[in-house]
Amino acid sequence: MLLLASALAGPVSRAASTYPPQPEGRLPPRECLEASRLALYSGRPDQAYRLLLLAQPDLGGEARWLDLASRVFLALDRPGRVAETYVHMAPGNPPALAAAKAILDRTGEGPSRPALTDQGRWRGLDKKSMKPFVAVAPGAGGAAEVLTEDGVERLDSEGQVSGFRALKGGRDLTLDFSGKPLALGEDTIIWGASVIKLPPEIAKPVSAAPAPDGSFFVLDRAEPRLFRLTGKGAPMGNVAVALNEPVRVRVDRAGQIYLADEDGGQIRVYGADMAIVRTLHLSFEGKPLRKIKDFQVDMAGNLLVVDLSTRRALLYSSSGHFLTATGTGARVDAAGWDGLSTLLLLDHRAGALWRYGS
Amino acid sequence: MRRSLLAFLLLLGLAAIPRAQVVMEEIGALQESFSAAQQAYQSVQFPKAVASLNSLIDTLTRWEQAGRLQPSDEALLERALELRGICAFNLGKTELARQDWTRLIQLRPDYPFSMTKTPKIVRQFEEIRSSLTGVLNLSVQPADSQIYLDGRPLGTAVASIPVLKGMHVVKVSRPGYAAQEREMTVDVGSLVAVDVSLVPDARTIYFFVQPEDTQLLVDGKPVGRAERPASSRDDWAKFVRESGSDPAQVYVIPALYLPPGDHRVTLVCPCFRQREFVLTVVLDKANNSAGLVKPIVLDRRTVNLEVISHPSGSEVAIDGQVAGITPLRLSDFCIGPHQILVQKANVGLYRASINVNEVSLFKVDATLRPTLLWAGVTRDQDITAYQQQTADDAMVAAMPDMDHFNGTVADERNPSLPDTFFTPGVGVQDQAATVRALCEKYRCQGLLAGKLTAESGTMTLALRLFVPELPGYDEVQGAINDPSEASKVLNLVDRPLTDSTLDRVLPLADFPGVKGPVLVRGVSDPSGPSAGDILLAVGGVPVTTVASARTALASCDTPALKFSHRGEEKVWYFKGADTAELVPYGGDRYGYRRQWLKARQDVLGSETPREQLAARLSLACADLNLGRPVDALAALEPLQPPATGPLNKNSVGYLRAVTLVQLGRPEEARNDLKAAAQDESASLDGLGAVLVAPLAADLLRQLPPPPPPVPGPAMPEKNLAPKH
Repeated sequence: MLLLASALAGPVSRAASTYPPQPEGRLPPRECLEASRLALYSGRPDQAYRLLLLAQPDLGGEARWLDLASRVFLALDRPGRVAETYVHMAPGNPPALAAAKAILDRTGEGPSRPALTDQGRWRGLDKKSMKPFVAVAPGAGGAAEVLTEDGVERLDSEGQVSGFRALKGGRDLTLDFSGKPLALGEDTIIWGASVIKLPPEIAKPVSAAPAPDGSFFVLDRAEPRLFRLTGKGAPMGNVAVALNEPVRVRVDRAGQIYLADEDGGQIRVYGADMAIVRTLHLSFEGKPLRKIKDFQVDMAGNLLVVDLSTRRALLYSSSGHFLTATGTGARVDAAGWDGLSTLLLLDHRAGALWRYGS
Repeated sequence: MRRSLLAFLLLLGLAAIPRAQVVMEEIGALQESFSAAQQAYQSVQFPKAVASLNSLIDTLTRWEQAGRLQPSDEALLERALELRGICAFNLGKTELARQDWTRLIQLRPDYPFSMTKTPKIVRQFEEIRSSLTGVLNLSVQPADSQIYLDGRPLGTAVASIPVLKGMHVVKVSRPGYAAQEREMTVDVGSLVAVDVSLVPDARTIYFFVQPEDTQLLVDGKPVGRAERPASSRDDWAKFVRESGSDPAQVYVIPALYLPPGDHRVTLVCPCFRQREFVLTVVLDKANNSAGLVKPIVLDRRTVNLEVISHPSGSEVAIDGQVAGITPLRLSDFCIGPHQILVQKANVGLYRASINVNEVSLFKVDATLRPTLLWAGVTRDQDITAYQQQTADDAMVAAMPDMDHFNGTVADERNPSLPDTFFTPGVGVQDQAATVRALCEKYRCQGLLAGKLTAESGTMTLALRLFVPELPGYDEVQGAINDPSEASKVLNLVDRPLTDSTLDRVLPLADFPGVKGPVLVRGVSDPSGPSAGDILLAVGGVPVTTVASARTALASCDTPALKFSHRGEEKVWYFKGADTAELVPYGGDRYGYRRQWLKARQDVLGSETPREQLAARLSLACADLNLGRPVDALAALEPLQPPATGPLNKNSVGYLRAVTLVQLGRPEEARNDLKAAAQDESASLDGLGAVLVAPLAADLLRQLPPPPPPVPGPAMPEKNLAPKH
């Protein structure tokens, strides 16, 4: 069995040292930053943090330092610090400001947290054509990507189909870190403009997720196993997954891997080296979720979960603390989320695509 | 050609030296000749006297013709001519006497003939004078005016004066009056009357003030002090008495000859409120009487002065006088400018010029600081001496104005002193010895030296900071456009260790749709704001944006923050002491010695356990950064940190563990690291910005595996053989 860091994680940082930042023993600031990145994507956020501090006096004001800091703080489960780094990135960067606001809205203790039950605009869809829809994801400029069993449809801001790409046996749809959709089919992945053929050893792919270093993960439910592939589809390694009914895999900006167990109502969080970081047992109104179908992770580790037992989209903090949920107005079958303020909910019974916003 | 010129100049120079000596000797000889002639004259040896005077007069005559006659020589010549004339007259050589006296009168028509009172001789002399001169009859008002005849001062009170025939200029002047000149032609035997009446052009004003020693400034210039009591002159005493004051208590400041017009008058005296007014001076052309200003009594103003210091227990000296120990409160303290010095042995000092104004309580908050010595600036070959001097001048001017250090300037007559700290050939030991000696001499904690270089048109100033107790130096560099900008580089040394301002402690953001700046980070105090709260006002000033909040935050030290927490308005008071100046990692330009100096100062000066904790953590970080784990451990040893809060026992435990790891004692560090790795709240900076937990986890992972437990002694096997 091929396991863990050597296969799934990136190269382990060589910048091991004890505390003393003595001038003669210190790495140059730029090398510190690169070593920190390597440490982070090797599942060593604590080491990444130390190296980040070493680079801070010289590079602390630069965007790349702040970007890496936001990822390290995400891995260290410090959402407040993630928001702070986004605030520092905010001048001249409206998305960063929006991200900071979204994080504080969700995890801060202030008064401004909006409930997901705040209903925004909605759009009626042809119920017949909607039936085969599997998943949905928001696109740029109010558009949306919808995954059907036959392919990926692009809806414009008016809800009209503006494009279609065939994908046999559509199974999963998510957004990468630049907002490009990644759609998983029976044996193929469409990632932006790329079409990637899956290796034959992946027998029953059910979910796929991009990693921050350009690779991506595919969850194979056959054994089950988790495969890591390069951006061009070449296998990098795989690992057995000790879950009863793994249904979804997601990766956050820090390279942490999230696996949802449909049966157990839990989401397990792994470090980039596949060491278990924590297991989140999610519940709603005192009852555990019984049928997790889908979930997304935002830039601070918050989770938007679609649970078919409650037919709701539910928002949890990175530690599994329930934050808010959609109301009973929509019967949620699938959800698409950009991690910020755009949430699309697919309601088969109502024949509608609901758009929530804050 | 050039060689010839040089040789000529050399000869000229050599020749000038004995010539000067000859002149001095000649003058001495002439005086002796005159004395000898006088003695001969008094001994009635007239021929001998004449003989002595002949050579004297000949010599002085040559000098006169050569234009070398000095005023003293001229006086000698006059007296010689007078004496030789007397001797000649006594010898019956009246013609020779006439010649000498004629020449004497031509030299000085008003010569006071005084060597003899023989009527015959005097009459003869006066006849000659009358035959050569006319007389100016002078009538001058005021009588004590200074009179000049043809530029020669005659003194005062001159009634008449004989003058040679021709045109003459009489000038009359006196302070407070416009000078006058008269030209007149005088004939032999004529009597010319000269009447001059000066007209006042200024007026003397007497200011009567209370208290004594009040200083008077007119148009911003000091004029005088109140030193003489009004009772010292009858007219002053009478004036003061008529004004309703006691002449013995009122003092006079004369302001002499003020020109007519408006003048800005300022009366200042320590402890008294300054008085300013405009005085219009009007001339009294008729009598030119002095002006008298009615007595002015300055109001005494004192305040309560409070001096506190960090640390307390420091000695306070005000205006050079020992005033007490901090915290110090002085009542009835005079307003006005004062020099204050607060110092504590082995800690540092605080020196400032304060201008105590009229408030109910004037506070001085003195934080004792380390002192840096400026040793000067050196240069490379592309820098001119003028640029070097300009840079040095700029640094000398900037050193006393540092915010975080006291600055003083070395007064060493060694122009190559700055080279000691930059020249590669100077050994480290020599540098350290120089630093130690200078710091001891000037009672400084650090030494600063600079080097000005230029490369490709860019001028760079490098500053090196040496600390006697530490090897090596910190170096900062800055590009400057002009040597006069050298002090800009000093700012790299004189900057806070970290930015612990409220703006940094409470980062803010303007979010669209939110009415007010949002606090991005909360504070450790549960009653304080949390992340996501909205800041409403700072110190009573409403704030609506980050910019307005920053402006308000910058204007107060311990402001009351009004904020909205989940819709509820709350108020929290920021306390600066809740933050620690602590930097565990520094960049290349950070300056570990600077941090060490400041941290040691804080350790010595901290008074509360909280301050002591922050200061010792900072010192331990500095020692670790300087590769001194033993000293870092010693700095941490006395601490008894709190169990909770951002700066707690695990903050200390982590740093202690680091020192132990560096000292090769990892097993002693393991438990501290385990505890610190589990503490989510502990930080190294007191702000939660430098987290301890990941650092501890990282270091814990790098420790070697713990040694296996030592097995216990083997149990003796029991003899299980069946007993028979």
